[in-house]
Amino acid sequence: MRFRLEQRDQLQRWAEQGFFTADEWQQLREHNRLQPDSDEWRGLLQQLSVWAGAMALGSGMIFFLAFNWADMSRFLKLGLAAGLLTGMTLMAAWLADSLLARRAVLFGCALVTGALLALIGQIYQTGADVWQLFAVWALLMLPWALLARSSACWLLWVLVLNLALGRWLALHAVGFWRPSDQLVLLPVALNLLLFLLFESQSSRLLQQPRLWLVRVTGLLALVSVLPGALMAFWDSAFIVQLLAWGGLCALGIPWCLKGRRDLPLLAVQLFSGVAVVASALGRVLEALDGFLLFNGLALWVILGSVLVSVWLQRLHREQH
Amino acid sequence: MNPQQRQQLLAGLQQDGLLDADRQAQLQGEQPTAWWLQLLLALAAWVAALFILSSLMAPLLLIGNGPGVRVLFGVLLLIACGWLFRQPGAFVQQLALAFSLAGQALLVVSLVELFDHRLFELRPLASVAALLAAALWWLPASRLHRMLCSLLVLGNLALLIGAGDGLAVYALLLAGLTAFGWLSRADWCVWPQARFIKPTLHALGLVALGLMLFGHQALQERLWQFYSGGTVTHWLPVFYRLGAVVLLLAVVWRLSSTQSLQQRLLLLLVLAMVGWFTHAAPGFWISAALGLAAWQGGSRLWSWLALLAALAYLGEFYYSLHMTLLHKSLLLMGVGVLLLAVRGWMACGMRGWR
Repeated sequence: MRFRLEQRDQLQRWAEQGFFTADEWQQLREHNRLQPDSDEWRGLLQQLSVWAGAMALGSGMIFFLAFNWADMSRFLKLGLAAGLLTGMTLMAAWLADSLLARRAVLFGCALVTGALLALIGQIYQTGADVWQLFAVWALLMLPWALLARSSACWLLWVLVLNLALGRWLALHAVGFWRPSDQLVLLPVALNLLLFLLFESQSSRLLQQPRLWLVRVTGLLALVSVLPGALMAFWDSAFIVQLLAWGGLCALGIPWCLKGRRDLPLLAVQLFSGVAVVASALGRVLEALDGFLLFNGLALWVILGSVLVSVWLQRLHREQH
Repeated sequence: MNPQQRQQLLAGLQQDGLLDADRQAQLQGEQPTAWWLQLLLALAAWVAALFILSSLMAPLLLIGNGPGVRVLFGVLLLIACGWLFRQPGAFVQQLALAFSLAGQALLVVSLVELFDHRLFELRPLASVAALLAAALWWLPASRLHRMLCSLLVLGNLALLIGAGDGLAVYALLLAGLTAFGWLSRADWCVWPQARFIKPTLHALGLVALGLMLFGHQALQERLWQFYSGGTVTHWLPVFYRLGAVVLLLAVVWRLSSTQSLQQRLLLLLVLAMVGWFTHAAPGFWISAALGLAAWQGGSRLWSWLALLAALAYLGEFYYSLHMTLLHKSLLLMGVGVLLLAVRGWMACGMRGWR
C-alpha cells in the first residue's frame, strides 16, 4: 500500500512513541514505501519551481525598482503601480475560471490596490487619516474579493475593515477597550454582521466554503469585548462590554453545541468564561493578602480549565 | 491528519496483515489532543503558573532577597516541575514547563550573581544556562520541554562561540545534522532514544534556520557590538557560502538515490553551476536543503517552516550590505527565470524522470 505524506508522518510518530517493535517496523518498511515516490517528488518540484520562480522573479523586480526608486519621477512611480494593477487584472480575466492562479492574481490585485492608495497618499500628501486609507481600500478591494471568491481575499477584507474601524474609533471614541459610549460596541456589531454574512452566504461568497472564516469573525467579535468584560468588575464604566460578552456567549454556546458543531469556537468562549470568572473572583477576594489571593485565582484557573478541557475532549471524541 | 486518512491508514495496515485487531484498537484509541485545545490549555496553564509564582514571591521576600535564597527557590521550582512532569494531562505538562523555565531563569541569574559576575556580561549567563538546560534535558518530561532545553543549549552555545568563522562552521554543522536527522528518520524512529532525538532535531532545525536568517551583518552583529564592543568584519566567509551549496547537493544526491548515476550526476552538475552563481545568498540553499529533507522525512510542517524561513531570509537579504541592490535583483531575476524554465521543461519534456 502507498501512503500519503501525513500518513507516513503518523506511522513514524507511532514508531517514535514505541507502538512498533523493531521487527514489526522492518516488516512494515518491507511491505510499504515509507518514502515519497517519484510522482510525489515530481508534483512537489513542479509546484515548488513555479511558486519559487515567480517569487524570485517578482522579488528581483521589486529589488530593481527599489534600487532605482529615488531617481524616478512621481508619474513614473504612479504609472508603474497602476500598470501593475492593470496587468494583473488583465491576467485574471485571461486565466480560467476555477484556477487557483486566478484567485492568487486577484488576491495580488487586492494588495496592489492598497499599495497604490498608500503611494498616492505619500506622493500628494493628501492629509487623509489612516482610517480613511483603510476604509477606501476595503471599499475598492470588494470587487476583487467578490470576483476571486477565495477565503484569503475575504480574510484580507475583514482585517482591513476592522483596521479601518479600529483607527476610526481611536480618533472618535477613546479606543477599543476603554469605556466611553455605545461606540465601543461597533466592532462587535461589525464582526457579528460579518459572521452572519459568511455563515449564511458562504456558498455564494466562496468557491470552497471554509469554516475558519466564520471562526475568525466570531473570534474577532469576542476578542473586541473581552478586555472590557474583564475590566467591568473593577470599573463599572465597562459594564456595556460585560453585557455584550454575556450576550455573545449566551447565543454562541448553544449555536456551537446545537447548531453548527464548532468546538474551537466553543472552546474560546468557555475559556473566555474562565477568564471573566477569574476577574470577578479577583475582585471578590481583593481584601485577602497576596498569597491567598493569587493561590485562590490559580486554583480557579486550574479547576475551570481542567473542567472545560475534559468536557471539550469528550465532545471532540464524540465528533470523531 | 484528518480522521478519514487515519482510518484509511489503519485499514491499510490491517489489510497488509501488519496489524491485528488488538493493535488496531490500541492505535485507534490513541488520539492526540486537538491543537486548538492544547493552545488554550497552555495559555490557561501559564496564567495559573504566573499566579502561583506571584503568590510565592511575597513569602520569599520575607525570608530574604539575596541570591542564595533565590537559588533555593529556583531549585524548589525545578523539583516541583520534575514531580509535575510525572503527572498525566496536557494542562499539568504546561504548568510543569512554566515552572521549569521560571526555575531555570531564577537559578541562572542568581548563580551568576552568587559568583560575583556582572549580569550584563553575556558569557557567564550563557555558560550556566547551557549547562543547566543540558542537565534538565535528561529529565523524564514532555517533548516540548526537551525541545526547549535543546534550544537553550544550542542557542547559548552559539552565544559562547560568538560571531565569526566559528559560528559559520557551527551553523553549517547544525544544518547538516538537521538534514541528516530528517533523511534518516525512518531508521531511528523505532529506536528507544527516538523520544530524545525528535525534540532535539526540532531544536537543531530551529537554531539552524535562525542562524541562517542572521547570517548577514544585521541583528547578531548589532548584538555582539552591544555586548562585547567589538566589530564583526567578515560574517559571510566563502566556506559558509559554498558549504550551504554542498549541503543542498548532498541532500539532492541522497534523495535521487533511485535514479540512474547519469541522471544524478547531471542534476548535481546543474545545481552546482547554479550554486556557483548564487552562493552569495546561502540562506536559500540551506532552507531548500532542510525543506527537502523534511519532506522526505514526512513532515509537512517543517517543509513549510523552511519555506517561511526562506521568505524571511529574502527580507534579510534585501538589507544586507555585502552586495549592491542591483546585483541582488539581477541574481534573483536570474534564479526566477531559471526555475520557471525548469518548470516548463518538467511540464513538457521530462519523460525519463520515472
